[in-house]
Amino acid sequence: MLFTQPEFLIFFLGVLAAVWMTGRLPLRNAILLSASYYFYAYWDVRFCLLLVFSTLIDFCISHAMDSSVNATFRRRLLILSIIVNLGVLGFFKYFNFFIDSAAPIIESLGASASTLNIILPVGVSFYTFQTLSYTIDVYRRVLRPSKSLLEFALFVAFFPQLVAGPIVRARELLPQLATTPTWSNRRFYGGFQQLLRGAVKKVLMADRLGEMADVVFANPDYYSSSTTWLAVFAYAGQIYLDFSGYTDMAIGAAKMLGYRFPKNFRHPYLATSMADFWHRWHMTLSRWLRDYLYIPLGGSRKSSAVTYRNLMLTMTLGGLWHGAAWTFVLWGVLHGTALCVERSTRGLIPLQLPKIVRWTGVMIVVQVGWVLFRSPDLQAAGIMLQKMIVPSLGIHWYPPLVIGVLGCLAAEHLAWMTSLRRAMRLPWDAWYSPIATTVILWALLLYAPAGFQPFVYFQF
Amino acid sequence: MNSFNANRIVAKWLLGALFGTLVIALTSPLFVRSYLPSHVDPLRGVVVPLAGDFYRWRSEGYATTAIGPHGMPGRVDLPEAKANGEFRIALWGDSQAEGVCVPDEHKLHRQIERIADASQREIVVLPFARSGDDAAEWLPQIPRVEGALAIDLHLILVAEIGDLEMAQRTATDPVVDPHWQANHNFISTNLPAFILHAGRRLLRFPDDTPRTLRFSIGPIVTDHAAVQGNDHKAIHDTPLSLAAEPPQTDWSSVMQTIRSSTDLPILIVYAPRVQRTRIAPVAVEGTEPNPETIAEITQAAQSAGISMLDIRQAFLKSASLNQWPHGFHNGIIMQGHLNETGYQIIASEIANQLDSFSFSHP
Repeated sequence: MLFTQPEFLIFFLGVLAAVWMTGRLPLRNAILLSASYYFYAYWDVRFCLLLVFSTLIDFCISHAMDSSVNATFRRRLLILSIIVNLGVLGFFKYFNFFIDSAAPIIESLGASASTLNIILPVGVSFYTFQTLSYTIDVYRRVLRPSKSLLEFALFVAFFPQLVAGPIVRARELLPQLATTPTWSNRRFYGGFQQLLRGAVKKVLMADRLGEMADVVFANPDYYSSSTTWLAVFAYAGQIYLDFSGYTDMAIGAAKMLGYRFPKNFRHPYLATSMADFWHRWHMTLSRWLRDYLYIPLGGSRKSSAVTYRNLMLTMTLGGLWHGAAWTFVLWGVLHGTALCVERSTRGLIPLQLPKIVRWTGVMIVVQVGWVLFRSPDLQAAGIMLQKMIVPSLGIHWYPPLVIGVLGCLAAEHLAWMTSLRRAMRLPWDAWYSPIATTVILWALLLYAPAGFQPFVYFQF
Repeated sequence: MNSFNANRIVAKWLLGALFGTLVIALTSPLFVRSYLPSHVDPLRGVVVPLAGDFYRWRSEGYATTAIGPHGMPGRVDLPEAKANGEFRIALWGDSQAEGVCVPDEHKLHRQIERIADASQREIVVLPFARSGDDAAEWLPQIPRVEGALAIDLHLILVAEIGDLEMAQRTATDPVVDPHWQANHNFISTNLPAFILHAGRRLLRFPDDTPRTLRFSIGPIVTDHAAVQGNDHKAIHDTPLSLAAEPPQTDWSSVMQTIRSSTDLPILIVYAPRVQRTRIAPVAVEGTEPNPETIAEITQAAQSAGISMLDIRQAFLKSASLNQWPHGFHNGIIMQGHLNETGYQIIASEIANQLDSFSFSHP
């Protein structure tokens, strides 16, 4: 069930009514848990078994860890949790990738390198990371395990963030689930406006950009250099608007239910350094990688060489998390390399470089990265990059809507840096909010592209 | 919150909703197509929009088409009497010939007349093409219009050769029920287009089938089934197959059927889409028959006394110069409907061909 489908609207209205009409906590959580499992089963009921398995394993492991003082036993339990969670992820997401990549070796040993017909459960990358963070935090004793299986199961399966994040920490959500939210007009309205903002980003903007990006990336050799550049910008806009739009809808829906989720984006295309970019893009994944991979590897506390190794490993695995393809790995390597270069040149290159120069450098790296990220294979990525660097002939195609949407995106970014930021949230007390809200609702109904496009990050 | 505040808030939001809707109402003609009332034209016997209306088209191209007598798109004048020396052509086809994607002055009929005018020929083209029509719809109309409107030549523009095969099928015009027609016209006359558009989007899927809601759990085998790995990375443009062979058709019989609809000259213009493919920089769309089959069809047409004009080479030449005859910037270049360039090419080729016809002077 997509957030932008009419079925979700009806489902969500029903859940809203049910949870706000019931005051008692266990019942409220039970309603939300049932709704979350129904939401997930809407895709494929078989996926729910995986969710139950993941929930029960980590609930039991966390309690066993917490009640033991034997460090070795606790460590073994943690390793078990990691193996189970990453094993699930590895099998469903990466089995065929590894088989295909190792096929020459496997076949040279006389074995058959046949792949399996595996369906990727929606959201598996997100909820396995979420439950992993829970067990690691319990192991580190920064968190007590949840006493309530109901609350923990809801933490894992909570539908607004189940399929594409944000990756919420247990210490952020579990305490909220343990108390009954109180009604707040302001929070409900704020959640509604954020939900609406997300829908605009996804339906009116991202999907329109995707109409061009999909066509050009499918046949990169057909188009001229200028069209290729426009398509790359279109994809950059699409992935940001699609993902941040989804996040806004998730955060907005949670707010309307009475819960607070962490931010996931902070206008990443305003970043003036690669490090800054990763403090603005998919922030919950960035902090997960930092806290559970980068820092345990040693972070930047040891020698420069180790720091660079840790950066490269973290970003490469971060790339691989996004998908089982070498283009995603290369994307991670590119960002890791850029971070290493930036770190190593600190102090060598004057920080007084104009912001616009630093911003341009970041944008070049990011756009090249998106070419790798989006291209169906390395060959297509190579063609796209060549066309971006070497002027070449081809079909000229400049969709006015794409240019318009990109213009709106740029204007929104610039406006966000000014006092217009508050106005853009359509505050409750502003005279223009009812007018703007009505226009948005009509626009969603009238101007959405035909058909429902899945969110890009659903495939991760 | 006291009741006074609550009333103020409600009033503020109602007023805001009203103003917001007004904003949409005023701006929607820039983005939303028309929904026009229609009627069964007594001469043609088919459903057409009413003369005097304007049809807005806003996706894939951007134009407003004036509707003339007998539902002709882009032609608002129809002199009662034929002028001395005037040569009248009836233009048949589907949406490719109808040309609602381009402004009236760039539509095919106007381009033909402009070229003829430049060479001192008085040619009037009456556009009778309708979206979705094929030979099953054209043939019954031909004898109805040709006498009443003093037609000299029937010009049939086909983008898909398969449209000619339908000559041996019975036409099915959708609207016969006068009550349905009356309701449809009442709604389209009295409700603004944006309301109709919104209603249509709510009640129907993009393919115009009635919308149904699904609340059952999955898996459901649909186009949006469970994601299989990196789906968007696995989207490759399926390499166009070698030109598809249509099922065995008796083209002699088809052409005889077309021939039997009128005693007047018939010119079939074959103008398929051309594309860039993985194996050639320009090629005819892979779903069309191969050149050998087209040659057979041409032969069958000639045997039946029907002239055939093949635009393929002209299109391929234009495409090789990066001037694509199909597609729009607000659609996809190279795909979809004929654009101004495409109509120019076709009009030039037709104008050259017309010299070979003997004109019957009134």
